[in-house]
Amino acid sequence: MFSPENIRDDFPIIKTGELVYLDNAATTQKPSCVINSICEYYEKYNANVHRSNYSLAEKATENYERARKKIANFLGVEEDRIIFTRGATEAINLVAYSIFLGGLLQPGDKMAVTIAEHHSNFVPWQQLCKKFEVEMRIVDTTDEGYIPIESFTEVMDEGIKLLAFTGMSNSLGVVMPYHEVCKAAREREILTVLDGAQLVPHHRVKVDEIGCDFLAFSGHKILGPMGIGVLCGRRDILEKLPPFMYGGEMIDKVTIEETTFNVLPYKFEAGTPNVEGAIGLAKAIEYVENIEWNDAVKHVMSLTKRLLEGLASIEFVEIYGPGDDRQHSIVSFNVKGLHPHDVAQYLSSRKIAVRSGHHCAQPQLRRLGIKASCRASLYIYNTKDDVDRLLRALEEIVTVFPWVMRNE
Amino acid sequence: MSNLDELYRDMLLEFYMDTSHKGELKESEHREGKNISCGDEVTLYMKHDGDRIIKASFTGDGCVVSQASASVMAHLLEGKTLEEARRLILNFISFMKGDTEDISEELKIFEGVKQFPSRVKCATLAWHTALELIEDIMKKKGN
Ligand SMILES: Cc1ncc(COP(=O)(O)O)c(C=O)c1O
Repeated sequence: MFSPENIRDDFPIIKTGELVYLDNAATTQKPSCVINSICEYYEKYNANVHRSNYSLAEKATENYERARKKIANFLGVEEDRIIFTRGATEAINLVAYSIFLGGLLQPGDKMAVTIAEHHSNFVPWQQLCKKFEVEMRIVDTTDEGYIPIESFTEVMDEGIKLLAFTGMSNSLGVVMPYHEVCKAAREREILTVLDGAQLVPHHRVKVDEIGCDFLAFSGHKILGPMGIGVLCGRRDILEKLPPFMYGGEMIDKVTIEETTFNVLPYKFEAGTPNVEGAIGLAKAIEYVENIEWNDAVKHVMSLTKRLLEGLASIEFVEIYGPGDDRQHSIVSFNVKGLHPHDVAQYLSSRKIAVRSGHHCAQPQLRRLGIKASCRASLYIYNTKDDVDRLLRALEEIVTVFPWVMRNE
Repeated sequence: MSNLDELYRDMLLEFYMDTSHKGELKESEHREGKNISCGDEVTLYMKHDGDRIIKASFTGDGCVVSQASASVMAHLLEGKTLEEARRLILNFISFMKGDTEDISEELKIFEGVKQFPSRVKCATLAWHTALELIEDIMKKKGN
């Protein structure tokens, strides 16, 4: 049976019990097995990969490729469709640049993103659209931050060729109907780029069941190290696309006049890769796979509900988002009359870590009519007690900022 | 005193609540300032006679520290010559950076902010904005 109490000791920062860590949407804490796998790599088999044939290098290459295979299995795809990147941001930039450079979007074409995107799935498209004279359409959210399938299909039927969208918004934790969206897009032959940065850590994502053409995510939000992420793509499109970065590793043959490129996935992995990162991420995936996942998800859902209900009962707290089971693990809120920075600072003095600010999602916050919010985000090692400590601290905030009550 | 009490000293909270310098000033010069990392915005208004600041005010949304700091500043700048104001601002900015301890009594309330490096920018946002505005006015006057 899954219980957070049974796994907390695996996480050095959580284990101390000194901090209520509720900023998991920004990055998760790492279990010891991930930390140790990185040490082990440097202590026992550090060498550059794919370059040499001495045994140390072979061991490094073997482990790097085994990591790729692990992640491929996790997503239900073949390993040559797994491209290692620095994170979701680089994965999205990689696919966006390759698509534009490869002429899959041309002047006069249309594409769309949603207003719920993290800046990293918004700004690259916006900037490239400007440069290549492609029209960028926006799929709007409801006032609660959800996007029903009809809003997606309406924009699809305006003749777009590509849709880039998040499976789960990072500012509000709203899970979008990504299965239906990808299905509707495929019926219309629209390419889809699914931002899985928040989705992958919480939902079991099988790429080909969802039917997205590209998926991007970051390792550090699913217990892995920073600086490693994945772009997973459809093979026929990846084969057609030109590389985005040039350099070592990604070439086949180089002459003074010409270069031919390596096969997938190496064509998109220029330079010495983040080997420790790939190995650490594979370890994190292994850790996640060894947990009773359905129970862990249920646990996070019940904590989300507890948090939503608790916040709703505090009269001076305003909550954003639908507030039902479309919202997973993330709750954005404000204390009326108080700036989120002050709330977060106060919570920090109570040893509670939440994020405050615009969460790299300014279009979404503007759409809701706010500039910033506090965001509490949960993961599998959080407990009811963590949630209750946050709620209690918020109730007591009036002792520091007495006007909060008067502002009512 | 706990760290938090030091940050939110009573005097600082009083300046935060004091809205006498909040609002637009008609027929004045103004300047917008922005803290990119958190999105806080402040607009500063100044009325002057070419030599002295007659009135100062601010509008904007922000945390207690940034609003209190704009409020104290507007209050202190009034009546000062442009040069005196410029020196006061530079003094406060160095104080917040930890380069000097020599600062007027009213501004010591920001001492506690210094232990929160991410908040120093909140405290100095209005001051940087005022500095730009004053230097602009002085430059125009010089020409
Ligand atoms: C939905 C979403 N997309 C993309 C990103 C960018 O991830 P990274 O900064 O790891 O590249 C994030 C991270 O906050 C996110 O939440």
